[in-house]
Amino acid sequence: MATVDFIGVEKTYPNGHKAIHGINLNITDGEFVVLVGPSGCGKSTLLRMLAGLETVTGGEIRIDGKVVNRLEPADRDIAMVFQNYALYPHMSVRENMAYGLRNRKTPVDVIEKRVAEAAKVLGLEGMLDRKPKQLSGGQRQRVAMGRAIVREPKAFLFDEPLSNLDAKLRVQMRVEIRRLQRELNTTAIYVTHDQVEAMTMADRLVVMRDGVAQQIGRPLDVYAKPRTTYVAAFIGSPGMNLLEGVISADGSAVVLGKNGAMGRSIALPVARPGETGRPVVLGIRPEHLLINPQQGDTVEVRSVLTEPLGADTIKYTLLPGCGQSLTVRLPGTHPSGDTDVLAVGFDPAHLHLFDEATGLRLED
Amino acid sequence: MVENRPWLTVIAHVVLLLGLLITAFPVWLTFVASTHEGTALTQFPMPLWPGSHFLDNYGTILFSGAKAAGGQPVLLMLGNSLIVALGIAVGKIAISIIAAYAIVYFRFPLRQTFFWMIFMTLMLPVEVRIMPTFEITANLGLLNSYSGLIVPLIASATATFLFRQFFLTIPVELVEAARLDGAGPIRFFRDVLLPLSRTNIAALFVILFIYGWNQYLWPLVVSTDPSLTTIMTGINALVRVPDSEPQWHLLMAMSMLAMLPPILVVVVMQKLFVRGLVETEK
Ligand SMILES: Nc1ncnc2c1ncn2[C@@H]1O[C@H](COP(=O)(O)OP(=O)(O)O)[C@@H](O)[C@H]1O
Ligand SMILES: [Mg+2]
Repeated sequence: MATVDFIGVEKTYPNGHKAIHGINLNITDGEFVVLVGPSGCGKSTLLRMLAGLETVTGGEIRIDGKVVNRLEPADRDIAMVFQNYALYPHMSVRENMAYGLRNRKTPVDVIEKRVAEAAKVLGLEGMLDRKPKQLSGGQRQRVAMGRAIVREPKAFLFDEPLSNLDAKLRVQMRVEIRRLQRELNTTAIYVTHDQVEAMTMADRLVVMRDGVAQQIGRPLDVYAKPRTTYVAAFIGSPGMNLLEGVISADGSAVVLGKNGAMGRSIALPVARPGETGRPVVLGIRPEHLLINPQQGDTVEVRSVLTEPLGADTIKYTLLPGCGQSLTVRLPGTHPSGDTDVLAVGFDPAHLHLFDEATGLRLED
Repeated sequence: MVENRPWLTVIAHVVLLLGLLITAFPVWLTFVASTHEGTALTQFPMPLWPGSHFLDNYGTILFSGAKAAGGQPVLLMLGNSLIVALGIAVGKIAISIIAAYAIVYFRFPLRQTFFWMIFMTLMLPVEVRIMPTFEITANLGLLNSYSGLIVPLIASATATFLFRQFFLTIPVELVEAARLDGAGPIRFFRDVLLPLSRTNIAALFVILFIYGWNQYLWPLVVSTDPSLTTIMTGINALVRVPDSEPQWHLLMAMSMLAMLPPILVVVVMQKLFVRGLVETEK
């Protein structure tokens, strides 16, 4: 139960590599915040600074308003779940969970009670006397969770905790982690490179790139209004289609292709007079492309690959004349011929516009 | 090799049996010789089957010793050797595991330098540095004492190196988890590192015990007190008795006795570390 604040946090590693470039983030009590981004963007670094496993080289981290920059990990009252679980291999499940409490001189009866409760919540009751290697991956993951829960910490930190599990178990555990966190109402900070995990679990997302928070917001807000082309492409599966183009002469449309080379124009919902010729990136999500629409302009695209997902079908297509690709999501099943030609329309209500040079979203 | 030809199996077993015979034969001869009278062994042919003096020979050796070699009972020598070998094995393990802990887990100035300094002493066996070591031992007043026999042999680059390599295989996350669990350096060492090193310790103990048990040159140099004679120096003293035939029957009995403790250690510890390997926790 705590608030966590990052204030201008920076990290320069001893070798001179600057991994975090000033992150500002205020996490409220009981919130589930997910740090998401590709591998190497600094998610773990940020989490480990909060845990006290890495020094903070700039800015402040506060837990419950108190600056913790110089506190030892054990004194920050937080618990962490690692990707490889990091269970003590020679200790039983019970000892693994109890170890942190024993070090804190918690009375034995309290330890027993909490371990029993955690085991019950996590479905580990019959396994308390087993060693970690006698458990499956999912069970080990639960023990790691149990070790965090029994501590009743101010915050849970997760560093890609589900990466080592198979796909099905991952879905199951992600639901379970979320349920537990809601039940315990403990602040949680969760690191993942998987945007599906991020979207489904987060109260709030932090999309990171190269040590910078590109966007912070609720998952659906981020999805609906990505602040940069990077976020647009990263969030969503498949990501948003991004097409180069320029604003047309009257400002009412975008002409596709570099410098409008493709000649095909897509009408904008709100005209941008006075920006004629401005290089932009036009974004549209695969599910917002209209197939054979009754009205409006269409573009003919050629399908190069079809991925039937059951409920949906994803078609990877090429725009004629410029080699840009366009991903289309169709509801239902659509048997493929590799040479499919589709007439797609761009739903004006779901167009996104970004500046080409900065990648920043252009508001209407 | 998943070949399944019967005659290959037969040949393999014949070769193995031959090898076994060749290695076991000298030990058998030693045992046979230790059960005969001294005179029986200087005649031709040498006996190949045990004689009737087993109790005589072993009794003499164990409790009163061979007159010709100063008459120290072998029981005393075995005791001395046991103290020295245990001291060396336990001391070496204790020192080197602590040194490796410091080198792997603590950031202190010149850490790498210290590691390489330790590592370099690997190149210098006891025999090479025996003069300076003797000088220091003498200056410390440790001549003719158990400490003198044990302490100079305790520093061990090999064991430090082995523990270092093992510690490096332990995932960092385990250390970090322990830090978050509030385990300080001592607790981490005691609760995590030591239990995980169990099998390594067992294996090293076997090797180091035998190393200590077989020490010859150092005990010879550092102790002149007959009551500190170890079994190895004792055997040699009996070989080089001036002006008389070596008493082969007693010598062989002593050799048999000298072999027993290392064998015992191997057998007992092997069980321990095979079990350790089977239930390995990584
Ligand atoms: N101990 C370190 N020393 C120097 N650079 C590091 C260290 N740890 C991580 N980095 C670098 O910092 C960047 C961010 O790493 P990390 O936070 O682990 O990324 P993520 O968890 O998002 O994959 C990477 O470029 C990585 O190479
Ligand atoms: Mg990481």
